[in-house]
This record gives sequence, C-alpha cells and structure tokens, in this order.
Amino acid sequence: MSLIRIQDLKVYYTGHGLFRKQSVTKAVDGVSLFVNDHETLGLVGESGSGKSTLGRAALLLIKPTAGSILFDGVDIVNAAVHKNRPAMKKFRREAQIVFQDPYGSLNPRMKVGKIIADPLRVHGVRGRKVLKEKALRLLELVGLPASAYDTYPYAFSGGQRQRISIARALSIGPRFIVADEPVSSLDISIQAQLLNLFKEIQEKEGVSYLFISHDLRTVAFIAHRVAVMYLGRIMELAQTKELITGPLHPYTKLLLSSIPSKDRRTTDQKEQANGHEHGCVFYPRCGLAKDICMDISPDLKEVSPGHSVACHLY
Amino acid sequence: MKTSQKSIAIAAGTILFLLYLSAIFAPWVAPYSYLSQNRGFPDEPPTSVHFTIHKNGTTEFVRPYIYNYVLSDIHSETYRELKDKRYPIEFLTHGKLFYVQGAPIHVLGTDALGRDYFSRLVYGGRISLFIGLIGVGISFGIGIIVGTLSGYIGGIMDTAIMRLTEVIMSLPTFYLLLTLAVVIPAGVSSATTFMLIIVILSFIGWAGFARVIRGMVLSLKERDFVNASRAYGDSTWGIIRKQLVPNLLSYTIVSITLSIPGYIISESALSMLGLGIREPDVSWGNMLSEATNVEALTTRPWMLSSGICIIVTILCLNIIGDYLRATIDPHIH
Ligand SMILES: Nc1ncnc2c1ncn2[C@@H]1O[C@H](COP(=O)(O)OP(=O)(O)O)[C@@H](O)[C@H]1O
Ligand code: SF4
Ligand SMILES: [Mg+2]
Repeated sequence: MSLIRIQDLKVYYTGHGLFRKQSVTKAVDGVSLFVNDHETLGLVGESGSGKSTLGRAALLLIKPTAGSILFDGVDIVNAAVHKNRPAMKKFRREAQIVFQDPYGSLNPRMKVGKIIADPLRVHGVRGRKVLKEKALRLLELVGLPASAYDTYPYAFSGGQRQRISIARALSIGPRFIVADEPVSSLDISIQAQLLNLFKEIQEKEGVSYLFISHDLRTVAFIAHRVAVMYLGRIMELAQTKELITGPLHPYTKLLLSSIPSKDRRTTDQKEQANGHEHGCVFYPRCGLAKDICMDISPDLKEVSPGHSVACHLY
Repeated sequence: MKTSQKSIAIAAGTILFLLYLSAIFAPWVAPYSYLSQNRGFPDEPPTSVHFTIHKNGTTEFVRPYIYNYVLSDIHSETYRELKDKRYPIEFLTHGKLFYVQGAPIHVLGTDALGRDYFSRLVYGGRISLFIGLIGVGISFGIGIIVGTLSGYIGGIMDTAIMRLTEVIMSLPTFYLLLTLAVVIPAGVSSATTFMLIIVILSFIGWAGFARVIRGMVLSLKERDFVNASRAYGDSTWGIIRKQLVPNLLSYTIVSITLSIPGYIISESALSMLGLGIREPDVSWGNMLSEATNVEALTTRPWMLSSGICIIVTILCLNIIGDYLRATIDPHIH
C-alpha cells in the first residue's frame, strides 16, 4: 500500500476581476499519483505549472476543489470535512512540509529552539528538559551548532534557515515530507549540501518525500521516480533513470534539452485559456501536435510498467 | 540611529517615568492635600526659597529656608515676606518628599481658594496621566483581539466587524463626547465621569487600531511559518498566540505610545470645558481652565504649569514613540 495516494485531485482558484467576469485558474486539474514508504517522488515543471498548489493541497493547506487523498489508507479530505480528530491528528503528525522561501518560513520573533520544539509541544510532548534535548538532537541531525538553539532566525543564512525548517519538519517523526523547492533559492554549492542532507535523512529516518523543483537535474539527483507537471496536469511519470534516458512526452524532452538553462520560461494559465480548454494543455507549444490534440485532452496512460505518459503520440 | 536621538529618547523616558512616579506617589510628593484650603491666602505667589544669609556684610550659604508670608493688601492680593524668622526646608521627613515646620510652602503658589498649586498639580497628574494608560489598555485590548480574529478567521464575521469599525470611525468623537458629558447628570461624581470618559473614548478608539491589525494579520497569515504551523496541526488559538501576536507587538507598542496623547488631550479639553473632571477633584485639564483669562496669566503665570505638564508629557511620549518606531525591529527587515 502506498503511503499517500492522490486521486484525481483538482484545485481551482477563483479570481474576482473588477471589470471582467470571474476567472478560474485550474492550478491542479485532475492529478493522480502516489508515494511509497521510503521513496522520493520528484515533481518537476516550469514555474506556474501548479507544483506548489499540488504540494500544499496534499497537506490540506489549501482546500482541494475535488478529488481524494488517501494517507496510510485513510481519506483525509473526508476526515477534514467531517472533523475526524484522531485521523487528522495522526495526519498532522506524519505529514510535514519544507518551503522554498527561507525567510518567510521561520517566525522572526521565535528563537530557533522554540521553532523546532513547537511541533512537539503541539503534539503533547511536555517538559523543558525533554524538549530541549530533542531540539538539540535535531539541530545536530541537520548539521547546525547547538548554539543555534538560543538564537533568532535573523542570524542565519538561507541554507542554515532551510536546515532549521527541515529540523522543524522532522521533529515529530513524520513519515512523509513535501519539500517544495527547498533548495531553489540557494547557491549551487549549498544546494548540493542540502540535497545530500535530504538523502541522508531519508536513509536514517526512512521518510518519504514529494520533492518539488523546477530543475530536472535537482529532481533527478534525489528522486526515485519523477512526475512531470505542466499547467495543472501530469504529463509523464516514470522511474528517474527511464525518464532521463528515454523520455516520451514532448514536454519532458523540452525540459531535458533545456538543461542547463538560465532562462526558464514561465508558463501562464492564460496560455491554457487561449482556446485550448478541451485539447492537450501543451498543444500551443508542441511541435509534434496532431489534429486530435486540439480537441481532446490526452489521459495519463501506462505505456510500459511504471511509465505513464499523457500524449496522443503513445 | 544617531546617539543624540537615543539620548533624547532616554531623557524623555526619564521625565515620563518621574511624572508617573510622582502621580503614583502623590501623597508623598505633594506637601499638602489637593483639597485643603487656606482662604486667608488666595493667589499667593510661589514661596521664595533662600539659600544664603547676610551677616555683617558677608554672605553665608545655609540649608534652604523660607519665610512666612502675610497678605499685605487684600485688594491687589499683594504678599510680603516676614523676615523675622527663618523656616528651614526638611527633606524626606514626616512622610513627605519635602516639608517645612511652622510655615506653609507653596512652590507654585496657591489658587483662588488658597489651595497649594503644586499639590494639586501632582494629584491632577494621577487622572491626566492614567486616563491615557487605561484608555489605550481598553482600546488596544479590544483592537488586537478583534483585529486578529477578524483577519485570521475571515468570512462573514470579518465583513461584519469591518463595517462596524467603519461606522465607529465615522462618528465625530469630540462632539459625541460633548453631548454625552452634558447628558451625564450633575450629581455624578468625578470618578464616575472619569471612567465614563475613558470607556467612551476606548470604545471609539479600538476601531482604527483593529483595522490596522487585521491588515497585518492578513499578510502574516500567508507567510509560510504560519503554514508550517498549520501543517503540524497547531490550533487557531495556538497560531494566533505564538505566530501572529508576537509579530504584531512592535507595531502595537509604538502605536500605544503614540496614542496616549490623544486621550490626555481629550480629557484636558473636556475638563477645561467643565465637562470632565469637576471641582473639587483635580486634573491638569480642569486646572488649566482656571488659567483661561488674561489677568490670571499676566499676574500669575505659574498657573500655566498644568498646561506645561500636558505639553511635556505629550512631547515625551511622541519622542519615545518615534524612537521605538525607528529602532524596535533592527534585525527583522
Ligand atoms: N492563491 C492563489 N490565488 C490565485 N491563483 C493562484 C494562487 N496561487 C497560485 N495561483 C496560480 O496557480 C498557478 C499555479 O501556481 P503554483 O502552484 O504556485 O505553481 P508552481 O509552484 O509550479 O510555480 C499559477 O498560475 C498561479 O498564478
Ligand atoms: S498530446 Fe499532442 S499536443 Fe499534447 S504533447 Fe502529445 S503530441 Fe503534443
Ligand atoms: Mg512553487
């Protein structure tokens, strides 16, 4: 059984234009995927493709518009709606998140020790000494000095702040962590250190990751399987090696060919709205499009064991 | 931040601290009660304090002393020192800051009823200084709770609260207070009037602050440290208490400092118009009302001391508020 299984998840944002009619952004539009225990699923796609929305919705930080999320076999969308406290408490303990922005993700008014220990408090761990001991052990685990305990976040660099975020996420012993571009805002040399830390932690603690990045190389380094996302949909999903060596989807091929590239293109929901509401979302940029692509959106089909693609070419 | 600005702020803080201390310890600082009259000595000028005596053509320094005064002309209220006996000023005895055995000491003179002006000033500070503190206590208490809930929880409650604040903020505060003050029956004691003024000011004052807090909460709750707390399942109350409120505190402290003067001015204005604190009770505002004629001001300028106290207090609060605003978050931005 998968640790987390997302089925046909949809997250739509409704904007209220002042002069235009209500606009709907289909940030996540029918995504299904799963993550196994001790596994890293990479999620890659250009900025604006809905990765963060998917990651946050998976933790119910954003309310899904439709679809279900099974965590350890329990439908937590349902549990949240029906205020099933025990189920939610277990979910809130076992699923955590690390964000992209090292500055926004730590409370500037809280000392690092308190930041790390707060999840423990919330989950009923009591006693100053016990909490401090655990916090110090976490600091060591993520490679920060014990002196960080009594310091405010302003004293730390971006990379160190991300380590603090990781320590906070790990404090209550989660089984699943959404890592939403946790290294994207850091220098290349520091990126490598942090990616290694994520790997190390997985070996030691046995956590699973949904690891989000716009950079296919980053994802390829850390993930066992990779899902490629574009405008709210999964385009292709395969074992990392297979995806890199034998990409099928035209969009995956584009991502691979643009490594390394500085000028990532930012996709916009407007492209989707441009008269392609029914067809393949990639149609406007696809060089291999066929007639059918304009009218019918391709489903994600398994073309070989563990390798799925959403494209009319296959 | 320049050092000069820092020292000015420290000086302002010290002055304020002393003012509040003297209000708290008024019975010890003031030589007399604010009520005790001495009708034989109306509008007496400040008692001269002497430090020297002249003997055989030489000047000798002695501990400070005063003379007794007599009213030499009732109509022009002219006073004369009786130089036959010296009365030394004693400090920290008889449960007073300073004390003179055998002769009255009026460092700021007396009023028309022969009451010691300095004593009244010290007691008057109790009302004028604390009306601001109690006022901001109530209005900021309501404001921070309502603003935080409104911003964090949102929905219909938020909309309703925001409409309410708009209504409250559109009220013409001062005229409303005037009306209310007139409506309050004359038999009501000053203490009750005092409380009513504070409560009314506070129930109007929270609205603007609540709106600012709500705005800050709206932006804070989108920050990822709040999302992280939601991810590990902290309660709404826990998030408000640990993540939101500490980030609102520096703004709150600054705006508290800067809004105390408003309360002090409102009290003074009302009392000056005879609608706030009434005789024989005393506040800086109603003391100032006695100084509202040219004759009093030209012949007895010391009657302006209550106005000076108001100005000094407000100035100090503004200096401290500006200083805090500039320095309170050195490492956060
Ligand atoms: N809170 C929001 N309200 C409205 N639209 C949003 C919101 N957050 C994201 N979006 C839109 O949803 C789309 C996906 O955004 P996001 O999930 O942040 O993508 P990614 O993480 O892949 O860059 C974008 O078009 C973005 O503009
Ligand atoms: S479905 Fe058609 S348009 Fe879409 S990626 Fe495949 S070939 Fe291109
Ligand atoms: Mg993102």
